[in-house]
Amino acid sequence: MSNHTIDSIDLAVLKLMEVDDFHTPEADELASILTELSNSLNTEETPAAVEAVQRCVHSLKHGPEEKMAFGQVIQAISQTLTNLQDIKQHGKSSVSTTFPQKPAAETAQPTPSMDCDVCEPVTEQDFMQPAPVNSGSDNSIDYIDQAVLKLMEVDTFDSPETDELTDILNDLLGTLKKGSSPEAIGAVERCLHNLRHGPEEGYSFGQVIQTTSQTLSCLQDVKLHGKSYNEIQFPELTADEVETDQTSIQESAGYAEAMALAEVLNTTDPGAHAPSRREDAQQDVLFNGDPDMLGLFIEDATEHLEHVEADLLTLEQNPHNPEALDSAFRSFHSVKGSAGFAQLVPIEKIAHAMEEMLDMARDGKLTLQNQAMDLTLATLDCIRMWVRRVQTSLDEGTPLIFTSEGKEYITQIRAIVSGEVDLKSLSVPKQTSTAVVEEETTSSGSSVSAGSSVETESSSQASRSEAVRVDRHRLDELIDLIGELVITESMVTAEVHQLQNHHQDTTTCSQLRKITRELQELSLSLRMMPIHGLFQKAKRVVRDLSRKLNKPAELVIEGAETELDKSILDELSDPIVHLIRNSVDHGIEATPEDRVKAGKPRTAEITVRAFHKGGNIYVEIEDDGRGLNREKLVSRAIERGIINPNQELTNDEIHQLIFAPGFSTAEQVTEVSGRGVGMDVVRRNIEALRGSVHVTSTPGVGTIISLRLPLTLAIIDGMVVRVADQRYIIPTLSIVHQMHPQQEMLSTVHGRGEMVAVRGQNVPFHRLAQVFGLSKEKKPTCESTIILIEEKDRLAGLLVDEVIGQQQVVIKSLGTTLSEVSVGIAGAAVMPDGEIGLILDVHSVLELARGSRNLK
Amino acid sequence: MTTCATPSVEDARNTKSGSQRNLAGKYLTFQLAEEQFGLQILKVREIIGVMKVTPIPNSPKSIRGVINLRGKIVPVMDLRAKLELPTAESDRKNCIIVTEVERDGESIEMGILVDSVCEVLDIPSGEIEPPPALGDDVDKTLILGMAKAGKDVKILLDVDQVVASMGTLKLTVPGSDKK
Repeated sequence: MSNHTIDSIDLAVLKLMEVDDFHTPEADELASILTELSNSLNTEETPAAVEAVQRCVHSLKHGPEEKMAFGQVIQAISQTLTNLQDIKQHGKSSVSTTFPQKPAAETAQPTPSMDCDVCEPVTEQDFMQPAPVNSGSDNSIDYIDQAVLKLMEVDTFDSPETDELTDILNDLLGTLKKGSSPEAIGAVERCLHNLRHGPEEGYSFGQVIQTTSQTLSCLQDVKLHGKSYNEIQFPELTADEVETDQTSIQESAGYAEAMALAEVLNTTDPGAHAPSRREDAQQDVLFNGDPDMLGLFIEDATEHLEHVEADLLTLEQNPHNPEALDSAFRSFHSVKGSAGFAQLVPIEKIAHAMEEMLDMARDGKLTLQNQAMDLTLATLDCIRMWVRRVQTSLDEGTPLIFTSEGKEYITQIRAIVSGEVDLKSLSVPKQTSTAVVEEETTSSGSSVSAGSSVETESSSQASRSEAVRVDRHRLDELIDLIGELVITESMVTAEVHQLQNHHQDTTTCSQLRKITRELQELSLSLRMMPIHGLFQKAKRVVRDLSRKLNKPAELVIEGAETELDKSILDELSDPIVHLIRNSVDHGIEATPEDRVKAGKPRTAEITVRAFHKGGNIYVEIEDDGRGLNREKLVSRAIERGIINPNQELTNDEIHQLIFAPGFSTAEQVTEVSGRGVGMDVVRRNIEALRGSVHVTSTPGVGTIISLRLPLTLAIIDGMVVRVADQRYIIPTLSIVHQMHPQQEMLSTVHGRGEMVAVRGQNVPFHRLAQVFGLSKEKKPTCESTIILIEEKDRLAGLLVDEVIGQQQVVIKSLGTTLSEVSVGIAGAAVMPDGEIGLILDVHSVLELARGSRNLK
Repeated sequence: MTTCATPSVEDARNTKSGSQRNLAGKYLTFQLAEEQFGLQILKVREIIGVMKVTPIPNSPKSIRGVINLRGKIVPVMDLRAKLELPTAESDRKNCIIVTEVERDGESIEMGILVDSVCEVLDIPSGEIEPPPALGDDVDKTLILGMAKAGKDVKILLDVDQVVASMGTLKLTVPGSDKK
């Protein structure tokens, strides 16, 4: 049995939910799906089924002219589809199933007989079942049948027929209450409620009728076919949620219902079905899954989706790369599997659709390029969005809401898979150009996989499995302990040396030292991850942008294996994506023709590279575009009042202008460049990482933006100073200068505020001992050292007793308990002697100093 | 962690509602000035000898500072100062009891500086009484109850409250704090 047919049925069932009148776009869509369905049935020689479907299409199109109520038609279609599903999936033979009969009569005859026709299959089919009558002792079956009949006639919420239907349902409820399951009673009650209050609660009539019909057929299953209530899930419209957002609930209710329906009828993909799934998958719009399962799903999916993107981009270059195809297929398959386990039906469906499409590609029937690739990538983003949503709902404890987003991807993919749609005519549903950027902001907080750092070859499954996921805290703890070990080791060795004045037996000591050093190096490398993933993301950005802006561009990656501290990597993502966007949007010539004129190849080349140099890591983004226009920069800067018209600037200074806040030379704000993140934000982000940004540009040749970053955030260079009997560490980055003041440099204001003359400028300084309340008496200034600190645009000084030396230290937080009382302290570090040195936050120290002076 | 923290939270709540039934258990008792105190043993992580404590500038007197506990920065509370007992010369028997409590899903370690550690006592619930009414000048928020052990009375401290009280401390602004 072809999957395609089953899918069409599913699709039709889904679409049926949305239709709520004749001659709506949804109705048209439904008609076309049904037509397609009948075509695919043709091939399978089930004339009865084909005719039934064709009848459905006919009545859908011509219903009003033939005086059929909309409810009737929908009911007939739903019935036909259910019968088809029975045949296709439960293996019933088409002979034993009766479709709505008498095709000629249906169109020609007036309404009442039509009712009979349509209800006929229900009863006939039912009584063909082997054990129909055993539970017929109560008269609920009669009521169910009556209700089904009545349902045909109902047309709007406020009609006499509707009232009759509610009466019948009430009677049914009465009989059910004598010994049926509470679920059944609840389901019927919900139907009643919706029939009465549907309009107030924003449900469409079609939805309500559909739910009611569904509920009734569930009941029939129980009563006639002897199914137990445990096997059945009754459909629900969510009445409670309506107040929040009418429209979205309408939408989502429809989708979730559809999913639910599909589950109840046990339709969907025959392969991927576990019976237990039915229980939960259906629920209602709000989904509360098992948090553990969801957590696992997120971890799993995130990892697989990362790989998928890389694979897909490889495929675009080389569409028939079997490894990439297999790997992408496997990844989607895994996502589908884990979504299935977590009972996330929408994700499972989308992943399944992708799997089908990739399967086609594997069979060589489809080439994943251009539009097909756009669709694939857009679908990927859609899955990612779902994963993020699951994450948020998990983090915040809010219920997950299934909406209809993503449905259009399934529809499109199915259309492609079925060969219905010409790839050229494909238009990718928009939504996702922002997804890449969005994702970065949200995903950085998610689980850290230190493990994936181990792998450099992303393609093979084997290398993947060797990575181990480790909790970040444990890793930090390990690093702490190793740091401590190093300190203890040096103490022990020193003691041993003291005890044995002779240098015998020091081999064990040196062995110990060697091992501890190695351990320490290893521990620091644990946090390092290759920049590969980030560059991969950049590849996607270039691809999307170059297509959008119609500028052929290619990303060249160098040094993807360069490793950075994970926390830096997380923060680096936004700036790099921004710089890449800038390069494509502004850096490259406006059109490929311009490039040809300038004697360059049509396709622009953007290079990202990462490398080590002098204890730092450099990340460069280079384009071969037109370079920065100096005249324009200068004139714009003058216009904006950033520089003085008479100011003479070096090339370098001109280039740095692009980092000034609010500076943009873009002639018009395009969608790409007008995103509100300026180069000043990039610079700020990089500086927050204790790095710096530098631009070099040659007109007509290109621009290089170079980011200098520290190897790790965990270590800073500090100046160790002594104040009274305490040691403090001042980050070297914030220090401008240190000096031993001479008496003639000093002056006071009102005898209190002390100043020191530095290169002709009077700089106020504060005594750290006083600021920290360490000593009362003032030491003679000339015996102390003043550390000069740059604060925004002015200088300030801190007076310390002595500078002990410069040192690299590992920053540690003081923890939350002390956050209120540790003003002026940025953190702490373990000193080489095992004691703690506090790291100063110079800016808050200066604020504290000024504040305390004001108080006096 | 989670499993042992849950009952303790209940303990704290029960105390507030006046019920004493869950307080029975093992307590680590220690000496502070003339009085004996007890801490729930489940909250005690380890006992270490006094090491050099790095003071935090401008912090309240009850915070002695921070120590390096195997690479971890752990704050140390001076319980004498916290309970407004007279300060004493340091002594070889002094030690730091490192406690660990769970707050907002995060485990927090804190050292408590005490004069000396005595023993671990199993205190049945019958021996525990609610803190007596001593008037307004005795702060009872940190006290779980009073336990009789032989002739002595031990004051059972509520570790969670002790740690929580640390987070609410305010900075002493230089100038207002006359040493």
